[in-house]
Amino acid sequence: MGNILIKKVTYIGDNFYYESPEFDSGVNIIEGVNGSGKTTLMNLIYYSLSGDVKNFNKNKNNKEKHKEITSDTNNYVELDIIISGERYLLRRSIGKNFITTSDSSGNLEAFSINRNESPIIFSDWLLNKLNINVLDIFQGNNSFKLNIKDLFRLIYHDQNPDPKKIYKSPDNESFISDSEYVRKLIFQVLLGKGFEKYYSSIGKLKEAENQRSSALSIFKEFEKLSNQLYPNEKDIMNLEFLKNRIKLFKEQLSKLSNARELLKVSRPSESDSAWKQIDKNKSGLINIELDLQQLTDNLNAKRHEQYKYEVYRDGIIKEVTQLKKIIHAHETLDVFKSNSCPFCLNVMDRKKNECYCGCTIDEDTFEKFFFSTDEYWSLLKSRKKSVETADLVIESVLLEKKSLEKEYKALTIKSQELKTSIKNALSKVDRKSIDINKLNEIDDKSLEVKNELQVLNKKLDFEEQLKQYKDTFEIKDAIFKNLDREIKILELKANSDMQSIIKDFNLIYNSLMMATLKKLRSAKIDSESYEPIVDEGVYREASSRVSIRFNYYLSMLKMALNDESVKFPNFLLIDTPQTAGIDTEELKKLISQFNDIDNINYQVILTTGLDLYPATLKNKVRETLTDDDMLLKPIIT
Amino acid sequence: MSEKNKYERTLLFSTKDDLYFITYNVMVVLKYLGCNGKKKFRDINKLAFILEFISNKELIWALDKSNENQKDKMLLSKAYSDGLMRVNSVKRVLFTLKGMGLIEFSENNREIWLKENEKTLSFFNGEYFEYEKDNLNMLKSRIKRLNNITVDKFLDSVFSNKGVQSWATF
Repeated sequence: MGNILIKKVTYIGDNFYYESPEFDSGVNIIEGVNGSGKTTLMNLIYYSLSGDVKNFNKNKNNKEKHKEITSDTNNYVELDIIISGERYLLRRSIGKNFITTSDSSGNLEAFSINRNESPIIFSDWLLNKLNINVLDIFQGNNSFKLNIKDLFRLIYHDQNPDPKKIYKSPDNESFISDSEYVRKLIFQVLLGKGFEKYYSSIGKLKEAENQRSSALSIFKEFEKLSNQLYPNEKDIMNLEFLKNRIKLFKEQLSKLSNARELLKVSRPSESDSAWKQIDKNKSGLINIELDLQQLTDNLNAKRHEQYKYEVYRDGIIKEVTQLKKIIHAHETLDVFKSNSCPFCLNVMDRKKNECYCGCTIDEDTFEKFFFSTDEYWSLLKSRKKSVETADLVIESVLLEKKSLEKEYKALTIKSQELKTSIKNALSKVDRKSIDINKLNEIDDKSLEVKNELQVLNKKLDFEEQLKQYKDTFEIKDAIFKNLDREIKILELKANSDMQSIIKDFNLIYNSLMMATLKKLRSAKIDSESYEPIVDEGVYREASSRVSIRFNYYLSMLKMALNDESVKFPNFLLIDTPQTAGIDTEELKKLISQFNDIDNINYQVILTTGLDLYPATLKNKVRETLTDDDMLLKPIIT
Repeated sequence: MSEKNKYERTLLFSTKDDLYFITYNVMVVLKYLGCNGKKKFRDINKLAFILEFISNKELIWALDKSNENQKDKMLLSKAYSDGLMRVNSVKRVLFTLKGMGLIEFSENNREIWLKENEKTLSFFNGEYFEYEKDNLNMLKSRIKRLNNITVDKFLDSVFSNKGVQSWATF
């Protein structure tokens, strides 16, 4: 069993601060005059546990703003709290939707408050610490998860504007959040034992129902498609029939294939060797053709090589003839000499080791612009040599080309021979020995059977798919029905548990009510709605409303103290139950009931007016708030 | 001169860049166009391009083929640019030849002709220039009044009309 124990509440802002005294287990009373901040304290606690407090909303349109807190800046509330034996610090900034938690070893975590912002929220964290499962709740088409805020509707006894209502109003009122269904659920989760299992099974059932209905719709769609594809009665065949049909066709096909082989075998044996020879020649011919192709490529490459060398040689030969003419011109005309000026072309007297301009040069490396007869002759000689070299290269290329051509010719002859031999052999083979008509007949029939087989196989695939969908649906259906049955049993058990819980609750509630209201004869809660019924619905005194509600919450606490397996976190927040005009003595009597609780494994934080508590609980007063000593203290700078 | 330097000079030598190449070709053109004083060669800029044609028979054949032949077009295009680069060298050679007393210029330097003397006679002695003579005759039969037309007209008929752009102005 989990429980909540608040040690301290701190509020810090730029303008105000508040630091509570240390709270303890058992009753903790905060007394104070009206407007001194008692409700604010309750709300700060509720807010720090992820509650939604409208007064703290800074929104401009909010007409019930808590002036000091909404106008304060950088403000947050911090809760020093023990949850199921472990101490934590919870901190929530005002106006922010996340809470940071830190444990005693300093591990810090931050949780969002709203479920649409994060998969795991503060409520899930806290419920987990309290050992309460996070239940999925289904109502009509809506599904949502149970929050700590929902459970607080029977933990936080606020100043309810409507005294007839037992439950605190939900933070966000809607027809779902305040439905009787949800109210009952809160009661059952807090007090019931088997109900958690029952509600989590309902989640599973809904999941199973969804899967079942989607499987059903797929199956139905496919069935519809099947009816459209095969609209004729005669086309509809079940799986077994289809399989048999396919088997039959396959057998027929293999018989046909056998018959075909037999026809081939019946070919005369002497032509068999002739066919072998033809096959051999054929493969020989293919090899030769491949070689020929390779040879053609090589020959073309050689021809190209020859052409390139010839073009090169012709170029040099032309140069040789031109050189001869140059030498002739030089010898006969003697226009340019090795000492001609390269610019004006006139002959000049150049000194050795000196350039035309007069600079010193190395005669050996000095590039002259004109050649002597000797130099022209040596040029001619080297060009002639180049022609000779080119001739040699061309000659060797020609030789290679010739050998390739020879090879080519030989292979061409061989290929021709093989072709002739194959042609002759083919003409000799007695092809009439195969019954072509029969063969064709068999082939036609085979084709027909194959086509039919294809159609049948398609149909088989389709039928198998249909069966698979049907099977899936049936499995899902079975799962659903099983769960449904289980849930009915769980429900019965939970209901019977609930009845015994209600009986226990009624005993406690009745005795508490009888002790506080002297005119009352009986008090109990409705076994269906868990709403209180006082004097069978006859008792109508308005002031009794306070006792009816107060005792309801107190009964819950007492139930939890009696039975450790109850999930109720042994914690109550009670804000001055004074509104419905209850007289002072009655209120004191109500509060004095805490004296009767022996077990101190609980915590109640209760606010009340000045001195509006029994004298016996005087030592439980933790703080007194007055007009001079309000809850929020201004920070004086 | 070391062997290495000799080898380098041999490698770098190109007959078509040698001034004697221009010399003998110019002489051949003047001789076989009959420019001997009575007949004169007009517009010396033309010579550089004529040189291209008479030293390469393929170019003359290219003149006869259709314009679509890409290879011929490339040959002609190269001849145009080579000729263009040789124009100034030809002029330099011509003035040298004049100085050597081998050719003569008119007063306005626009016409030239071959002088007949011992040197020129011995130069044309023998059958050295049959190839060039042949080519020149072929060119003559294709281009009328080869000795007399302006360089622009000559370029039009051998390049522009064959689809090769000529851009230089003289």
